[in-house]
Amino acid sequence: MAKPILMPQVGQDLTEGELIELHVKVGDVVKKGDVLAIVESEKASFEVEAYEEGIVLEVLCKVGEMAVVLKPLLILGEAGETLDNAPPAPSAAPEIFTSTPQVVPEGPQQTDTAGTRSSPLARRIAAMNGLDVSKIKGTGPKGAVVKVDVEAAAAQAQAQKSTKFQTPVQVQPPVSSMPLPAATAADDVEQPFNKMRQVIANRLIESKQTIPHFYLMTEADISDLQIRRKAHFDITGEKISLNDVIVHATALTLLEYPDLNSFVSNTGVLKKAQVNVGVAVSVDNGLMVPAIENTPFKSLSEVSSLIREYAAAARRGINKSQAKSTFSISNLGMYGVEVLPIINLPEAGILGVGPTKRVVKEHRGGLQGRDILSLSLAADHRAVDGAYGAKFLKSLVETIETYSEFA
Amino acid sequence: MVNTTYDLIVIGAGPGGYVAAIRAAQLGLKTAIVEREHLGGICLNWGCIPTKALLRSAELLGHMEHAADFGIDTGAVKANVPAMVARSRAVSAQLNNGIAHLLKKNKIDIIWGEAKLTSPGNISVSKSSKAAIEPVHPKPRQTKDHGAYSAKHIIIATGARPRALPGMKPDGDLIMTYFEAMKPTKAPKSLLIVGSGAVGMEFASFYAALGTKVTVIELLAEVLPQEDPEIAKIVRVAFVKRGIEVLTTAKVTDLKRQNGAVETKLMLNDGSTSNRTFDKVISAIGVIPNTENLGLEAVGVQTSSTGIVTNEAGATTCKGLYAIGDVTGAPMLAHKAEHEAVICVEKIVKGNAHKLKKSHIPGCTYCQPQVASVGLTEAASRAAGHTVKVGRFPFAANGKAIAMGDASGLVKTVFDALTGELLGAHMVGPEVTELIQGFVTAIGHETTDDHLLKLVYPHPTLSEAMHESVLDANGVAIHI
Repeated sequence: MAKPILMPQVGQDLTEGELIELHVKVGDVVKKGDVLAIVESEKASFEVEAYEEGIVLEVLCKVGEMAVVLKPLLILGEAGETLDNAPPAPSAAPEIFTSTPQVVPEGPQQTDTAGTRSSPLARRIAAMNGLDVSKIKGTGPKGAVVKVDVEAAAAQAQAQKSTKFQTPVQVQPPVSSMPLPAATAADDVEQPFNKMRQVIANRLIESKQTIPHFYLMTEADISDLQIRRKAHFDITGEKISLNDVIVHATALTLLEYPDLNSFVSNTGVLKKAQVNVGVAVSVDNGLMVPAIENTPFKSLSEVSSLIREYAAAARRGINKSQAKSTFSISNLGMYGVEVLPIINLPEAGILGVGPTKRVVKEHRGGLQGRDILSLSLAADHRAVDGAYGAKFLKSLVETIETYSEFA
Repeated sequence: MVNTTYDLIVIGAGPGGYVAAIRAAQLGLKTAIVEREHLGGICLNWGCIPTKALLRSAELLGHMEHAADFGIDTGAVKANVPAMVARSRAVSAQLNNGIAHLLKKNKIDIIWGEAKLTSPGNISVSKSSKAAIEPVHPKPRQTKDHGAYSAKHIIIATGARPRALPGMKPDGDLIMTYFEAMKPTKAPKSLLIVGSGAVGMEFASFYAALGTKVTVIELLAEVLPQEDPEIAKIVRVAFVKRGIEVLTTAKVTDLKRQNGAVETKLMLNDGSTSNRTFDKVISAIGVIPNTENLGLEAVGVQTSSTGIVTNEAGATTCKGLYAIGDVTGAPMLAHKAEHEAVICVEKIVKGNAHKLKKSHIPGCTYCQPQVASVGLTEAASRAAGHTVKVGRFPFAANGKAIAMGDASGLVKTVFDALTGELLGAHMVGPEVTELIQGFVTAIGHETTDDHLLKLVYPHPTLSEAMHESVLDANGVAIHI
């Protein structure tokens, strides 16, 4: 039975990506989990894993071509099967259908669809596009939502998303931007940006130029946390980094500060129902921010292993995360420097994590050597004010200092 | 001088016309209908209905010839062709009379004669210029006379008539159209049927059942060119098994009447020619719209080779003038005409109406084995850019079909692999013309495969094969 391998939906924005590497050819045997291809979008590269097993019967996309999300990249089948005799039916809907992307709700989420008339096909296509069928105007019998209505809504949502909350692909360069000076010496090397650097350049120009950043800085005493962290390692052998704890603690704190877990535009904010913390990872000549989906509701162990997995993939140039980050963290503490990061558009804030320093402090009536972590928050003043940011930081410090969710 | 002014006049009382008139009357319009020959049109006088009566006789004959297989001794079974035709005419007469009652009940005036547009909103009705096909059913009682009539809205529903091949002009005796083919006095020994659409295939099936040596000749590569080729091939193979000769990618290059028979020259698919003599020939190469003698020029209505040009609610290029059914082009099916009638009238009266989705119009062919389909073929689905998954289930694995002694045929379903949308269903086998409505409902309600998978189909029925086909499209068929 022939089974298609579809181009995965990575993140919500991606509609197509360039196939830059193909690791299989017709006739190859493929096991579940094998990396079949690498596809590059404007933001990152990612691996296409086999979710079916079989022999490659046909490759539908060539290196250098654009692969469209949820369209087949290649067809797998059984030994001896050819496409002519193979019924071209997937034996089951690929996993991708069950993990459809999150809805981007307009305003407060309202999930009650009772009383909404819609066809099964309309509901299916709505789910595939992350649309709420109850919010679509129907033109079918008695106002039922039918296929054409959902298709129209999807097209509209796509257009809106790109104007409201997405970085325009082409950022207008600043008027005063200096043209690249011509090389004056023989040794000068002119290096145009690669795709990733160009995206970084465009996004950060827009962020720094359009977002009214403000910065708050604080410190957390993590001496007790370090003891608990070491105890956890001694008992379980599981290595949890300080960064893992900070990511989880930040996610938990964000649950109480939803204004900072939002997407911002000039006309309003989109408070995100789910907290997906993005972790900035330095990669070769660039930066990636894989996100941990639904971070606060994952265990520390899960967060830890996901960060390790995503960071390792990112260093290979691969984005393994399918979630879109709602709040990011940039940690340069390992270099011993403080950081005042730039907000990752269109988010409302970003946490900067500095170094941990051993400081002699008064503690419980005596002088002690304490481990002091420096933290900074960059926030979008359109979304939140200083006091809100300060309260968030204060809460975060408490959460980190008292963190004990090691189980 | 204008005799009477109406809200709506419908020209032509076929399945499009009479339905338009009844719906208009229901919505309160003062309505008249003009007819020159027979209420109910070709459909129930010379088409759908009388052929189904004949095919029922043929089917029964086939069953009785195999009665011994079912444990019934019958003795010799013999076809009584005149009695079959008489029954077919009686069935037609009954329904023809029924239309008269429906029109009367809805207080619709019947104007007897041939209508011609004289100016927008005005027609003159005079004696029919066309000789009626015999036998003619009695003219309805209480009809309006010839004269001038006017209406705010006029709907043209004049239908279509058989197309004649050049050099093959039907003579009503040796070279027949469906009119003559429907009233044989005896079964010819040999018969050539030109064209393998629904009409040709049904007559082939009927005459083969009577014992005629039938040859079907088709210009295209496969019979039933409108159907999914996989289904059509099954029909062709079944026909050949029944002793029907099927010539595809072939055509008639010459044809003349000689000594009470028809001498033909056929060009076969290998390019060779063959001289053959047949007792009779049926020309079944399609129909053409009846757009002549209507005065369309007088009111400036745009027409094309496929008929009167209309928008999706039947409006023509002339204000207040509408056209529905066969006269507006393919698919030339009674149920399409009826549907367009309702849409057209509701648009006139209410200002809005639903849209007819042409790909959701089913098609049925009542040859043996029967063929029925709705939606896109597999090839058309792919051509439309769908990634498809296809399900197939043969009636050979269906308990009811085996019990009936008619376990041949296939149910093929075509789905979009990504959305699960039912794109098309194609069936050949026992009673599939009755079964197709299940898929018509499904496709019209935009059902997806996962919903169909979860439905409970009654056991034991032929419809289980439909369910299994859907299961097969998802790789989970049970009985195969």
